[in-house]
Amino acid sequence: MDETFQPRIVGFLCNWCSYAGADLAGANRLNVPASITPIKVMCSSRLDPALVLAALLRGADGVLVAGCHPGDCHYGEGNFYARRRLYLLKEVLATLGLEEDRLRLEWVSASEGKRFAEVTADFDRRIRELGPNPIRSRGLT
Amino acid sequence: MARSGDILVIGAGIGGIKASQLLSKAGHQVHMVERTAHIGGTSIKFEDVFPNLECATCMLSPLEQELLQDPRIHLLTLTELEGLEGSPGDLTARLRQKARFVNLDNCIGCGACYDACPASAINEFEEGLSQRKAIYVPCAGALPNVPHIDPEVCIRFKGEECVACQEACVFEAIEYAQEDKALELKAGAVLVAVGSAVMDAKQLKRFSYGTHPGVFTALELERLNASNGPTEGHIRLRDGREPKRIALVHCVGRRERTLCSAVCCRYLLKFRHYLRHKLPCAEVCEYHTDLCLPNKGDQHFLGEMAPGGEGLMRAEVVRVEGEGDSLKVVLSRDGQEFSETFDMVVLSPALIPSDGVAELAQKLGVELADDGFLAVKGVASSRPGVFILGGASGPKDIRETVIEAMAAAGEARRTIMAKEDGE
Amino acid sequence: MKARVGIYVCECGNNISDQVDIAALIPILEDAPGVVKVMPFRLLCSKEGQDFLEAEIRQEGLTHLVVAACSPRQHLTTFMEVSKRGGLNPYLLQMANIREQCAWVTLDRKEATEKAARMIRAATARVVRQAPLPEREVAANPDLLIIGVGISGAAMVRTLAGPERRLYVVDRDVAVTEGPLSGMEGVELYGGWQLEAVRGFFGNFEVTLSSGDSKKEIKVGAVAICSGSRTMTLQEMDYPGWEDPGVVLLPPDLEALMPHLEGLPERPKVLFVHCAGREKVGYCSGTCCLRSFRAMRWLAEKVPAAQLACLYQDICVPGRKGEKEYQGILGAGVRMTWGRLTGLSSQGRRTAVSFLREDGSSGQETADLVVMVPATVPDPGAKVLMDIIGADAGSTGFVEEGHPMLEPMATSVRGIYVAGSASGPRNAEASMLSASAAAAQIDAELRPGETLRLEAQTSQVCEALCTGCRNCLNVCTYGAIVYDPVAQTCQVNEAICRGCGNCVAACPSGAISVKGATYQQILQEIREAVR
Repeated sequence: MDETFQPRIVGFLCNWCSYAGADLAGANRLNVPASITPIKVMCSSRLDPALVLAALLRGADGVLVAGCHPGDCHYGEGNFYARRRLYLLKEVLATLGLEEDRLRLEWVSASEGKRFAEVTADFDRRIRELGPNPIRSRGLT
Repeated sequence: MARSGDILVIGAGIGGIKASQLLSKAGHQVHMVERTAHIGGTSIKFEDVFPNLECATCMLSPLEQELLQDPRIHLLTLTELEGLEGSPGDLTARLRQKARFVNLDNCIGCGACYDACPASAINEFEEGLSQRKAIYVPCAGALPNVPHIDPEVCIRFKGEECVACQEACVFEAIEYAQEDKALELKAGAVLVAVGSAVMDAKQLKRFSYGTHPGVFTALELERLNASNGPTEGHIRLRDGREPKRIALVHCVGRRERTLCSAVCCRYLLKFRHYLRHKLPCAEVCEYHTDLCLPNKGDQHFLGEMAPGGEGLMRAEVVRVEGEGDSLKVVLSRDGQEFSETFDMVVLSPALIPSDGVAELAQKLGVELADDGFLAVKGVASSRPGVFILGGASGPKDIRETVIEAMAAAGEARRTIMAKEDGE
Repeated sequence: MKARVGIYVCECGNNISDQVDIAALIPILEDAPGVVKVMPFRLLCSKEGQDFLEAEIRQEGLTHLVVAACSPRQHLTTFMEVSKRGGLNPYLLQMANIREQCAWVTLDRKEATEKAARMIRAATARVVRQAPLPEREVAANPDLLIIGVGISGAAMVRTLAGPERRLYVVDRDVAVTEGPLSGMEGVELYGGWQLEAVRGFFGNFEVTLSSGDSKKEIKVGAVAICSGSRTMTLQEMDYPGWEDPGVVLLPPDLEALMPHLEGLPERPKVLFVHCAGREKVGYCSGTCCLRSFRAMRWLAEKVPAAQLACLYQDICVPGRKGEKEYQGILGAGVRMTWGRLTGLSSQGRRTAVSFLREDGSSGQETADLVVMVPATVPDPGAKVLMDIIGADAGSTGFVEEGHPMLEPMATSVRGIYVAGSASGPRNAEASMLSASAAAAQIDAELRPGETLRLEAQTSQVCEALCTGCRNCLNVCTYGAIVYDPVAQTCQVNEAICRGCGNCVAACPSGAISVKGATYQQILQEIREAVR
């Protein structure tokens, strides 16, 4: 693993559950990797695959989308749509020369500060294993 | 300064919160009085709620934040009612607010003070499963996110020269000199939303709660399962072992208290979901006499939690006896007795009137029912202008509590408008 | 106009400044496009902090504001109010959460500072793409349509009738027009009428009522469904042998049982069969056990020599009153047998009741009179009603509540409420209480003389790009999108839209966008986040 590699991971967090869970991780002073920059959306269903792609094409080494657990979505079923879209997108990533694992979808509830810390730590570890986004290293961004 | 169009709500659990928010939406100034230092009542102890197993924090936390930011809702924590005089539309409430010893405006909830505090005690919110400091919030996520000092535990209040919390605080939020305050409020109507309490299972000796460590109450299991709880969500026996065989016991105290606590069948089924998730290898046996599933979706919920009735048995638990580390649960069915062995037994103790409700009734000038709950006709108490909602008048689930909260809010408004029309 | 962004970094006492080197941040932030001022402050949420920010907005002529501090979940509202006071549209504000999601979770100080820089620059890049949003209001009609005048409907009428709002009351029973509610101020009764169509949205519904060939259009702000419920008939339950003369349905009025008690032997055995129809409906009707126990008590007084027995599957008596009755029944010696009814048949002058025990074995009891305690089902008109309104009825046919616990009087459509047993079996007392709750909620949410505040961050469709594929409409949980068949494009009803953005992600043409979370705004935030 390249020790100088400083991953840039974008974390899309939904306002009602996962963003609150991330805040709770903070309130509990848990460790969250510095590689992750959170971006708040109202619902994980806002995540247009085009936005996720845009993040990857602009050099994000990883994209994490965290929404409410199935059944808990503040807007009803938004997280189901998110799941469908992002799983489809994963299939497409290979055609762009990107590893499927660079995109991760997780469910984190407002009370799961610890889970948020665990999920982000695990994703950071995986991205370090994968190395820098090949698009970035080819100097395309 | 309160005016007579204002409304006093006693209790900041889900019932008090919903009633206050409805009243605020309707334009009233609401004064909320809460005995503890935090809001949310009993519901914030749960990880998930039945019947849709929704995350309780995700459901309640936005409501709580909204309440705290509502300019028309004036919240007084650590406050209790001392007396209520006057007539509907023109009531005067005397209140006593205990000192928090922390300035609510300065404190930002960073928690530096709890780390510094040298004194600890049992954490009642966590059902005694963990400790907390003399200066504390009951659990992570409790709101308002501002601690208070328990003078019974704090060594400074016992005469020692300790300023650890004050030194740790960079916001100058610790104020040892704060004193209890007597307050007076004028209101047009009063809503009582103090909830129910849970019976002390030690009183039912045949279940060995308190004598054998393997016996737990429902709230203890809720806190064990909670991600913000004392074990971060790991369900364990008191010595740290993972239980392998778990018994869930319905109707504990039902006959003694002559009431059906309305929520236990459903929460015990909910526990099946917790246990399936956290201890997938554990065997769970649930013993019930009837299944109280009053809402239209509850039977479906039963089917999801116990498909084909697996793990459910109609049998009465006669007694629970310790046998070394294990527990022998003696059951009776069709007149026959038999027993099974478990390492964990979870009891569903009856819901009883809230602590201190008899004194509160006196101060409010309302009657108690013969079993100690506040007497009601619908949501009306025996005193005009005072309304009772939720667990205070009998065991209820969140849904029934919210319905009563809104109905009581409506009645309170009508009381005030009648007075205004009369003037 | 050129952007003038002010970035204010809160030290939060020492909570942020201990982990984030704010001094080092400042030059990095000053460098960002559009930034005219960067300043730290000890505690921005304090009174001093808020006054300081308000003054800064005015003095620096700021066009956009970035507050790098704690979580927006804590103080976004606070700083939006500050913006308003400073004369800045509150939607030209962005917060960077450098406390909960940076200082408090990053061990290494250098990393924390770099992350803070990224987060604040991302917030800055986003904020300059944000547009001012008006806080809109819409006029709301305070009038109410009440469908069904049973216990809950009548209670709602009595509670809400008054000079400030008109109540339109519809019931299929013609007698309602001249019934006890006639003559009430502001109440128009339509007995013998039904609902034909509902258009519009909360505060502004247009309703068509019909009766035979006659139609009437009314405008209301909200609708309350009080269509009630009924009990299953013996025929519907369809247990084999149900026609046996010894079998009777527990009537609402117990006096109606008297004729069935005549001609019975000296010490008649009366068997109450609970949970009748439960297998067919798939739920426990919750109210019947108590009703049955009260009937048993009544019967024991009327016919002291009667032997009472009960066949049941579960006894459901939540609360205090029910259990008292149940223990009273047990104390009075009523024989309780667990069993699932399988059939009925004549045995001489008696009726035989066959049932299955829990262990699967068959059992039989005979009785002189069998009283079936039936399941409760929705009113037969409920399905059609729900289709017209477009609100959800669950698999049971009862109206689904907006939220099973927190919004029991609302439905899936904003402005359509439900009270009484239309949303589930409920006894008279509970129906009255729920009517009181629904009335209180309507009265608070739809106040005569007031306008309704709309969500500012709603979606909107760019008609030029819209191809009319209706993907957006199909994903919207709230039915906030309508299709115009003439223009062949979709439109968002901003009064209903909740701003989740699902439609935006669903649109293949990029024709729909949500204010406050546009593609460009998020994209710019992403660009800074990955730098």
